[in-house]
Amino acid sequence: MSGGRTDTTQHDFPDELVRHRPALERSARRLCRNRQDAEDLVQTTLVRAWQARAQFLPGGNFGGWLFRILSNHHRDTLRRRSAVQVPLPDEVPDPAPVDDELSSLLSMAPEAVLEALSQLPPELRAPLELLAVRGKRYRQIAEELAIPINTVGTRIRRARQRLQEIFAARADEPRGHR
Amino acid sequence: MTEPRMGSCDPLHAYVDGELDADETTAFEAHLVTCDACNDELPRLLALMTALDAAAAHQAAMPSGTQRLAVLPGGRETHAPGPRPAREPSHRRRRAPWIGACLVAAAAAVAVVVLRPHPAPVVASIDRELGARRTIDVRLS
Repeated sequence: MSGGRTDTTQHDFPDELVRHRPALERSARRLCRNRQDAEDLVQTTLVRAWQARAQFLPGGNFGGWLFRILSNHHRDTLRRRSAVQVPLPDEVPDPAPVDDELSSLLSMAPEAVLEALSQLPPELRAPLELLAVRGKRYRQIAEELAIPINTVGTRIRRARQRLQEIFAARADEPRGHR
Repeated sequence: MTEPRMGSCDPLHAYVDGELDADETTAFEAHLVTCDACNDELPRLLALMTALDAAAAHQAAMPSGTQRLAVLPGGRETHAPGPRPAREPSHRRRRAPWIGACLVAAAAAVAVVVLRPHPAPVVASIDRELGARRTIDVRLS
């Protein structure tokens, strides 16, 4: 997987955009109701990042910054679509502050993610694996595990939260103890 | 320890999983515009799902024998889907060699007879022939 915290310079900025694009596309498809909206969201994210490239400092959390831009632009789109008037800045987030949690998630090796999955209790691990690894829907998971569909949603949310706790604990460990 | 921030609302997960219906999606998106907690959590959730995507792709590329198992209720475990093993199970390989040779010769004869007058449905004929062969294998084992 592509790492999140990289020593991105102005020179390799385009390469970094290309490298993160597949993950941005998958995320956009999760947020948008149709393919065209998802493509627009990715394009705008890339354009905004490119326009703000001078702000980016080497060593910053490039992947996390892109995810923030994508998320913020999605919110802006929803705000424009709705009648709700909320004063939100339509600008690229400041890339300087490093979101440690977001950064560690994007730089996690696949083996480490699988290892963290294996630490989950079975009742949380099974629905998350069926969703994330097998690509099953909540209804299919409910049928396979013989549990109510609402329980599937609750367990998937708890499983993700537990994973975040595991990753956060690892991020706090001294390097020699990982 | 760094505590992960988890101030998001429950439907956020169902939203990114595409599990809300049209009305629920509209209602949640109206909420998303104004909820700072959800907007703070959203990029982290997307990043976590990206990490899980990469892990799933990594697992799919692993040899089938080394793939991790999904734990199901009651302690049952199931193998992740992967390519079929290249080698047959050991109890099938112990079959007498002449049986295999006879089966191959018989299959070749059947294939010649079946395929010669009708060259078009080759795949269907081979499938039928292989199906018959599997039946013979099972009866002999």
